[in-house]
Amino acid sequence: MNKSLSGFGAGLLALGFVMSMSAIVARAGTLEDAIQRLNAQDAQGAYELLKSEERQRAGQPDFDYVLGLAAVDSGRGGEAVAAFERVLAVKPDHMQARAELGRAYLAINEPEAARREMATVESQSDIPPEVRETLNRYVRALDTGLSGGGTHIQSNVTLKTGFDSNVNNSTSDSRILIPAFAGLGFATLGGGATAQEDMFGEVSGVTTLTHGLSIDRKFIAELSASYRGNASEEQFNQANAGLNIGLSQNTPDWGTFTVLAQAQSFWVDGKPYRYTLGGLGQWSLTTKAKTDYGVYLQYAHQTFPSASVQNTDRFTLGATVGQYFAGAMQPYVFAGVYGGIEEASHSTAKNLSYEFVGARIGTEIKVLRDTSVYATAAVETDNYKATEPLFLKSRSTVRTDLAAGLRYALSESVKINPEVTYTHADSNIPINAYDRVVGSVALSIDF
Amino acid sequence: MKNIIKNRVGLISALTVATSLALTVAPAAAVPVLFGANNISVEGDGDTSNIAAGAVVTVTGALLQLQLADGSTVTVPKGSSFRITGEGDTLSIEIVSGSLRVESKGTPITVTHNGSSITTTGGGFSAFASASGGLDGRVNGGTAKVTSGGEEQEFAKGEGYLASASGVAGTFTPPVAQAPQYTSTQTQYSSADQRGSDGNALVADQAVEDLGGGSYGGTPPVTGVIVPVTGTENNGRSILYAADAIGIDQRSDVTVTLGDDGELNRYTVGDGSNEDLERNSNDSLERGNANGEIFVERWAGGETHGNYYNDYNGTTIAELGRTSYQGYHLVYGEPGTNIPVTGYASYTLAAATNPTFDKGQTAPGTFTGTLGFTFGPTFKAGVEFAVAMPGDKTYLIATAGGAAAPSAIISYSDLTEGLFSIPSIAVAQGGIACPTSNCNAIVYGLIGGDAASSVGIAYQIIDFSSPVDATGRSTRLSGAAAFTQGAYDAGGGGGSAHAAMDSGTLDAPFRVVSGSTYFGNALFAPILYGQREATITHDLVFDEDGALIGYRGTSNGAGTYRLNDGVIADLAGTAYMQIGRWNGGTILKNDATYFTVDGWQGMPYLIGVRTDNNVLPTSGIATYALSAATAPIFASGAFAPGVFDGSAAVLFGASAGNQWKLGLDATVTMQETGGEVIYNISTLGGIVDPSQSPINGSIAFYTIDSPVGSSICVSATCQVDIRSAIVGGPSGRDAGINYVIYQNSNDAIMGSALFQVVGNDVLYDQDINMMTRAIAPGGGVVTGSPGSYGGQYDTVTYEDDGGLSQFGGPGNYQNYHKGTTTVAGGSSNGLTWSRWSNGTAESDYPTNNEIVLGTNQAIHAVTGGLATSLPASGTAQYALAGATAPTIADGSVAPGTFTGTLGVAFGAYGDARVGVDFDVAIGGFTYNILTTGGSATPGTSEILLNSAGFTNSHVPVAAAGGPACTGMTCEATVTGFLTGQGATGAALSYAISSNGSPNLSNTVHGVAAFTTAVP
Repeated sequence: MNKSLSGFGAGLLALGFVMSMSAIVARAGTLEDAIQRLNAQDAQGAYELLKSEERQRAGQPDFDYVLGLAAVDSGRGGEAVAAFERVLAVKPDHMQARAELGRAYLAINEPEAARREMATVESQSDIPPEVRETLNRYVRALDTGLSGGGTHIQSNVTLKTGFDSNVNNSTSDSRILIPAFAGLGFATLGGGATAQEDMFGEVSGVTTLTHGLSIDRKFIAELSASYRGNASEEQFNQANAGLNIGLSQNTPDWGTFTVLAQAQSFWVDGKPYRYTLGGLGQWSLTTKAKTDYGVYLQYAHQTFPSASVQNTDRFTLGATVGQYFAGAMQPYVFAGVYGGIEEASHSTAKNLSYEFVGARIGTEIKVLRDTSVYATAAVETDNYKATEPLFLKSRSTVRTDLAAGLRYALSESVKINPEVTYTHADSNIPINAYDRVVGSVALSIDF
Repeated sequence: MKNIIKNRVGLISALTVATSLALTVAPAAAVPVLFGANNISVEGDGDTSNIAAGAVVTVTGALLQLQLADGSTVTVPKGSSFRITGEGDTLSIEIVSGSLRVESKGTPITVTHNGSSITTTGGGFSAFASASGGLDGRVNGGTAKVTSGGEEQEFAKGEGYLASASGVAGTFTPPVAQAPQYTSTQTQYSSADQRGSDGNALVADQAVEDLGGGSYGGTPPVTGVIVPVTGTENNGRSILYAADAIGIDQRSDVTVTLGDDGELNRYTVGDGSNEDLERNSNDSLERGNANGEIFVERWAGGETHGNYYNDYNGTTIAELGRTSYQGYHLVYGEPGTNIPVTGYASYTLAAATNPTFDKGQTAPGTFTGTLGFTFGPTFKAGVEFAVAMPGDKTYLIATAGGAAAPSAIISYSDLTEGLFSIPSIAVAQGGIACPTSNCNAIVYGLIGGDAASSVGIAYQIIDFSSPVDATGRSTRLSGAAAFTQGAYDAGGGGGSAHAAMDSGTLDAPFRVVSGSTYFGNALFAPILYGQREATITHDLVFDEDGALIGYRGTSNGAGTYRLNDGVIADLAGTAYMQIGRWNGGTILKNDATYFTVDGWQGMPYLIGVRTDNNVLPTSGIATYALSAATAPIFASGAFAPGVFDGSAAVLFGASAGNQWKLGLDATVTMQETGGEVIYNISTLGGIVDPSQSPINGSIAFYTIDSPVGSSICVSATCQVDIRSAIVGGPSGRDAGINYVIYQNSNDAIMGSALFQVVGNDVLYDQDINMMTRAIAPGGGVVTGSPGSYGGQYDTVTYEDDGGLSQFGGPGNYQNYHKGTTTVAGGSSNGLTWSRWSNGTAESDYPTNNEIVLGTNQAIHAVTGGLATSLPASGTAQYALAGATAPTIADGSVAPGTFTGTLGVAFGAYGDARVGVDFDVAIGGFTYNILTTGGSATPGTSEILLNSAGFTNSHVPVAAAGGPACTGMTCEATVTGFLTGQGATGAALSYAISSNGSPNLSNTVHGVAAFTTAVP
């Protein structure tokens, strides 16, 4: 915005001096001195020179015009507006003053009025083509902003590699007693059902399109995909593709409300494993004290093409809060709680239905100009609603996740992110208990 | 240093200016004009160079700028007026109209308007006098504090604000800052021009502008005047009103002020609602009364004045103007005394206002009608009204049975204040009032006089789909009328109860599947408080025959319902689906009486267990015959129960997810006022092509052609709602619907029907969602044999001669078939036990397995429905219902015999236990499986009961030895489950070996079934 404004100002100054320098330079003394200072990029000096004469000379268009220029270029948008308005009150057809008034309106955050004044000047037949082009560019930019900000596409690609102690989220105990078959003694689980460690590589990307529908409403579409391959345990290679489409409604006092339809497909070992269709409703608010609040409600219908008995409907309700703190390290602390239910749609698989409650907490601190560190902790308890047919008891799981990492910005758009995560799942059914440690390094590129 | 110099320069400049002003220009308590002294007019011809406090200043030229000593500037555009209200260390300005902009250099500057204010110190903002009476604008620099309506909020640069009597809020779209216009030939405008005028003028303008345009017809209202209220006050009244924009409602504890000619000049509600409305400039039209007890009139031609309910919507509602074609229709009077509690009364019209449309779309019309009441515990009204609108049509408002046979259940009544209401009476579509759909009438009533000698009503005909304009006007038709009692019959009105109807039987008790949270729907006759039904989701309660007598709804119609002292009509059903109608007694909701009905009303219900789509057939159409139906009833009980007839078809695999569609060929026949009326509720395509049916899940909606003579379907089409459609049982063998026929009214025809598939008899030998325990030689003894097997949601197929021919799970689970084996078994009280031997059984697990069994080897299985509603405490004793002959895994000895008893101690987990005392005789040896305390004292048993299941692999066996226990030890594994409502049965398998393992070659095993011992 600052960049744009300075360029814009230069364009209009050119307009002003091309069109009416003769009128301005005709005056001697203070005004001439002020013009020379303006030409020497000393807007502050020009302002101080003219301001002392304002009470005596207000209403003289030449004086007010240069005072307005000096005011707007020295960061006094409100005074500039007042000066240019005086010019126009006396000379309504003073196009230079009207164009500069538009610029001054921008400085005091009155984009609608700015657009009106610039469009008025642009519509005049006797302005130079280059000035018209400049004005047209800014009128269009203001139109875009006032209609919601136009269309933006932002993308990110992340490359990650690391070591995973348990690529299949499985128990490390290979001998499990299954009560329904207790008479058979301990069952021996195959490799796929016990923890497997491996190196992995991952590539992921996301593209987000936002389109302003109005000043307070946006259309959002987000496409994401990822692929993760293991060095040797290829049967656990994973791919993911997702699409979110929806609307966000911004309000002046009550934050932003977002509604998204969500679709996701998840593959394992090259075969479709799970499809998800659902929706997300979210409310977020950042207060003047830089506290973030959020509440969300998510629904997901999950279908498993190779095991339809596992199909579920999942409802999640959660709330988050975050706080920015002042200081060189710009610490940000956040926490969230959530809960919900995942209901198996197949009556013979009610043992897969469960209620869950979880909480997260974390912080991120800037330790160097381009470097920040972060840590998060999360815990979730899952209580299943019906007895596992094989284990004759309802499953209950407590999962704890810890993560810590560092973000280093190689440039504004390229970041490196080493990270370590640890997951511990404790369950009353041994096959669902596991530990997992993942160490990784990621390279993230925004474009 | 540079900054210091700058600051000093600035200070010197400021001092110079201030000194100069003090000595030569500015008088005390005046603000100097920087620019535009010639552009203003000052109230009282005051000084235009220095604006003194108190005088109203109007900017007539292009611009006015004021500047304080510190350089703070106030800019006022052309057309705006303001008044300085305080000047000194701070500056306060009141906007009279228009706007201004403030740029403070340090002096606190406050701008006010109509109770709202904005203040900045060192910042800037724009401030507009808003149409809502407060201020709005945007902060242009620094911060500003906005106060209004008891709220205060700070805004930062760039933020828009709204301040009104209701408080302070932000906005993204504040008014746009103004600047001197480009040319003098351009249209000049003021802030008020841009922002519109107030509500009253808007109405008046629209009344004028829209004349001939189809809305706001009639002579425009007299606006802009305040007519003093005169007359005599009378308190203790109740009042009804019906009007455009404002709607229809009723009030009690009202004081009315009546003019010399009896015109209503004002009414004040005394209940703290702050409602105090004056007729003001309106005419008092069509005044009339019934017996001098109930009065009606219409206000039109002016604008009301005062407060509407709690100042709702500011003055927009309270001070609306109305043309001569519009109307605020009023009914008032003293609440009646000695209102009868029995009998029937008829009424004739005494007076009525001329009905009007919201926008005066036509000239006012005429009203005729009759009214009837049956008094009693269920207070019913019957109406027959005709509302004729010139150039439009005559609208009929009639309840089933008309005035002679009141059938409309009063939705609300406070007879101590004489008030009642009928919320919804279907009105035929068509005409200005009912252009689209969902047209109905709302009637509010006031009973006055002694023994209900007079009645007043206010009514509206509303099509809720019609759009409303900025003042809330649409196509509504409003009016009021007063009636006098024509006749009263203390024993009349058809008040005698119709006999309770107790009929029907069940094929099988309904079997609840654990974990289900949807069972169906029940409809309510009568419809009370607008609640027509409850979705049945939890806590089903059954009588000893398995008939539904209680349930809980957690969503629609949430609450616990119980058939208290009534009976069930048309009871029918299977283990998967059941229909019936509670009637002839009191029905409780949350343990309190919800309604008491005779044999013509009640609660028709459908409950069922849905068969999951993924185990239903994936394609094809199955035809279903009607197996039972509840007699359809009117919610109002206006007519006798009728007849349901029809058949159904289900298209399987109708869409993704193996969704089904259900087609209907069905009729509902009722005897109504004009005789037989047949409602054809067949779906499109009927049973021939159910793909066209809208019924594809639990709830469906469609319309039918309204039959001639119907008392509830008064438009061309009528609505059918399938409030629950269920396909259940093996492969969707059973289908049921719970339906309602209606048209925007508080009356409806409702019932349930049950269908069963035709031409697939094997489905009648099957059960689904069954618990199964099976025991057989281990896989190491007989290849492919399951050893120990437990299934929770099994499908089982019964042999005609007893036992099972199949058990197992659909889809991904084990599934066993008898193959060529010999089957021995039996059934009792929902439990079936079976033994397969001497042949090759088959299983689908892992794949097409063959299990070869000798004469003395067997696969034993026992099946039943999982227990529900287990006792929380106490013990129960069970007797043997049947058992398979025990066998040894390797078949080395002949099958034996089983006898035994079982006891259960109920309670919390850990305390709940199962005690057994079994004698298993085989190979000349008898094994006594005996828990500590035996079956008689189950509380000390080693077998824990976990929910409804139990297992222990180390149950003591009294003596070692024999074919099963060749070593020194002998133990048994006992695994089973409880069955039936309240745990009326138990099923189990057992395996006896040296260590209880079921997989040894000499393990002895079998299954047994128990039922609660008969006292």
